[in-house]
Amino acid sequence: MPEPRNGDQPGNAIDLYEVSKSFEGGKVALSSTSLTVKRGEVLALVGPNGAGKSTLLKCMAGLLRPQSGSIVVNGLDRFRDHLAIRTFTTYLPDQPNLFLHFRGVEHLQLIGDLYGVEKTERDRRIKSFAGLFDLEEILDRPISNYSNGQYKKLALAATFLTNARIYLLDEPETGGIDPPASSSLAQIIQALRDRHDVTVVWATQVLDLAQKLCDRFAIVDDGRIIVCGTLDELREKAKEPGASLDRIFAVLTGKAKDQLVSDVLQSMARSAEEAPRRIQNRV
Amino acid sequence: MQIFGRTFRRQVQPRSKWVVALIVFAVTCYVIYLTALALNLGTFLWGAYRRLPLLQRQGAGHVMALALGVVWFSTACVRWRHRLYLAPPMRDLVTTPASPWQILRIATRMQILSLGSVYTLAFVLFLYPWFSVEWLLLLVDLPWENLGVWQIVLGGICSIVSTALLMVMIDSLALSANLLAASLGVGGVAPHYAFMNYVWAFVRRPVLYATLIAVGLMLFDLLVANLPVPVPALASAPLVQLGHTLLEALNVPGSTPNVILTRFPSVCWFDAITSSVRGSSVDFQAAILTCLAWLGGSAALNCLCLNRALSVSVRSGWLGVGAVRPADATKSKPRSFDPDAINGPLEGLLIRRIGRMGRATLRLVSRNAQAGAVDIHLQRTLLLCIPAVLIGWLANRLVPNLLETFLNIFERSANVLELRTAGQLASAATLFIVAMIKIHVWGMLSFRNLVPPNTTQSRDIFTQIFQQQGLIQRVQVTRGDNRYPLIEIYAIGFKDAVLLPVYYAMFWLLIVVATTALEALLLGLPADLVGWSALGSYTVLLQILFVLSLSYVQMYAMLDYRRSRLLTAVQFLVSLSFIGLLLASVIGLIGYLWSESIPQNRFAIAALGTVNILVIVNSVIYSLARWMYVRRRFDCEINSGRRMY
Repeated sequence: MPEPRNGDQPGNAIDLYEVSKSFEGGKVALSSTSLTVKRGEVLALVGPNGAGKSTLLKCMAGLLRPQSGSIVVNGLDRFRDHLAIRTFTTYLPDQPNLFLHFRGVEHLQLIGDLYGVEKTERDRRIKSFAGLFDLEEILDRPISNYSNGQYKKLALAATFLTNARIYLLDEPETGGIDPPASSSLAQIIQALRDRHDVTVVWATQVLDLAQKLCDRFAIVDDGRIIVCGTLDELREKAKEPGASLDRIFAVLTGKAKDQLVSDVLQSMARSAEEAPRRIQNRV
Repeated sequence: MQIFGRTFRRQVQPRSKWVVALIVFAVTCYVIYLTALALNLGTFLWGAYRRLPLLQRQGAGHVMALALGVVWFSTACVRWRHRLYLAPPMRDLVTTPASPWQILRIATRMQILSLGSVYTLAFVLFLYPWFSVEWLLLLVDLPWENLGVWQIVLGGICSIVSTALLMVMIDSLALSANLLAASLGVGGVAPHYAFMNYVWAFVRRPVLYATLIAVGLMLFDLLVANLPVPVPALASAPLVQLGHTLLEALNVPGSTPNVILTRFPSVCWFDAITSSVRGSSVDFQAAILTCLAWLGGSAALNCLCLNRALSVSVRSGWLGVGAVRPADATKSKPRSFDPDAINGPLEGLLIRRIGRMGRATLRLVSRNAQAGAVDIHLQRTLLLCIPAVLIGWLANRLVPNLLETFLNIFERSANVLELRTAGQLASAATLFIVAMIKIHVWGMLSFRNLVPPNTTQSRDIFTQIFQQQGLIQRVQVTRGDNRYPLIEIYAIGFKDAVLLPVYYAMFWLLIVVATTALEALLLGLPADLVGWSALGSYTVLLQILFVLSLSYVQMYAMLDYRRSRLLTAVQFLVSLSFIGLLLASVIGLIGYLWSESIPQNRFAIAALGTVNILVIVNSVIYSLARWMYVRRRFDCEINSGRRMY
């Protein structure tokens, strides 16, 4: 079990040691999970729905406290030194919750102020991110009037506005954002990857993009990290030389369901033929 | 670069100028209505208050102010807990370096354009008649011109200031209560002492309801004492006597209850406003100083508790109690029946008659129970009705004069209007309505508790519609928040959705009406009156449920297939007006039939004629609703390729 150290000392960005989390009702979300995130890397958390990726990120972000195990962030204990950790970490939830009665610009200003971004720098960043995510025209409107995509883009802008050194991103590419915004997001992650003092933990389902942008990959399934490493290491474990991350994921998680997909499609086709008659009978 | 991700369908569309105009018009109408209502209510209540004898005036005012304060303080406490701790954006701030002071600033940020502001405005208008008359009385003594302008200005300023004082005081105290509770470890997102959740859950409602009942009894006693006609039977009833005793205990100067009452925040505020313009300066000074003391005390408490109460450990769900659980972690509710089987004789009959798709429609009627369990729902209703009957019987034994007095009042009114039969029917109907409300509320509370709070389905059609319109906020209890209306999951035919609930209601109402009739007999009503009332109420309630089933189906169709809100609103208004006119005509027709047949003891003609009229009208409404439903469905199918995806 790693000992918590002073936050300025060199070492891993995040260390998880035997972390377990279960919820009321008996659902085990994480089961003795250990993981090391190196400083300056972009780590992709991939796994099927309900595998425990979001719970893992929430534990790292300090939203959930695990029942057992320890989490060390930059050498600091996640729950003992949470005040210090919060100043250099930022977390984007899968479904962000924003203050609906705020205007967009007010939300960004609020986040900038919370993270102590200097006022002129904050306004400059707001302007740049608004341009990047195509939000200029709606920043003065209340957030309650935003569409799903605009809402998510505002949350993204707020995430990258901070002075954080550790970014915990839970499926940032989902939630209805448009292709230009997805492209901007990819560029931002690429830029963060090039900075050696910034660490990104990115839970994602978009495997081809993750393959392009991430240094390492952790495949999560059923509350456990079944494998973690670079693409080459994963290929070696899956015994699939030259395979894509998509294929490796399918092999390692046993989710290659080609036959099942074809069965379902056939069943859907049969059902579609019978549906009009059934509806007609009911009406 | 193309990235494919999850997308959620959201039924939010850009508003056209017509829709905006309609919304502005509706809001204007609402504000005008609220203004008129508040002003008239203020004029009526303050006028009634002035007409009270001087000795009783203060007591009545204090009790009213206490009732208002208790309710407002209770709701303010809940509101502030949500604002400070439970609101999802607030909980997400746990991951940011927000300081307690920043958190407080965010939580106290006001929403100017909100429903709360409208109600505040209404309260200002409610207070206005008091100050406007007070200033008028003061100004007529002075040789000023343009009294009206001064009266409006000064009355307005006073009512705004006094409303602000009350709001700030109640909110500040509620904030203090939350911060204090959180800093002691019994509040916040997940209280440190978890057992306090249970204690609070047991204590809160009984205390609130006991206080409200006591206040209600005192007010009722004041009302009885001030009736223009003496009612000795009512005045000597034990419950009224209890209210009288409470009132007397509160009015003994210097006693502890009296001190608590007069120092209660809203009561001090009431004393301050009633003595502000033409009252004793000593009273005003004492009242306003007490108000200021409450404000100062709460401010000091806020400063003291701020850091601890808004620290991360209190705002986070680290203890696991307040953690948002994933949808798949929700404990599945043990089913008392098999949803795919036939669970009893009645259900078997319905399924054979309607078909298996009819199961889903049972949710429309018995949505508090699970779909498909007709027999079990009926069995539970019966189990709830029996204690209700016993309680009714017990209440009759405890308060024997109350029922007689109520009946006497109805009888007298009926005699005055020369409508003896109508008077008897009205008294019986009132008892039935009370019994129905009792059974329904009880049943609703019991059944609601059976449903786990993390169900992914929104149970209530009205909730769904209000959520989509943004009138109420969607409660985010799980990440598996289902955004699809029920009808998309269960394709329901029109016949299933209307006739099955009606058949079901026939059985359910039979039990409810029979037990209510039993209760009425135990309460001492004449048997023939109970018989006729039971028959009448059974028919009427069945009729209401039939119309409700039709409305539900129409509303689901609106929810699912709505494309033009303006058009839908117009269609809705037209159909509503048509049905309203139709129902009014039917009631008129039945009323005429009864007035011609019942006084001549031709009950059979009255009953058969009523059934005949209802059958014809129901067929008309059913055909109309079915036509609308089918039209909308085909519209949807025609437009689906172009507009749905």
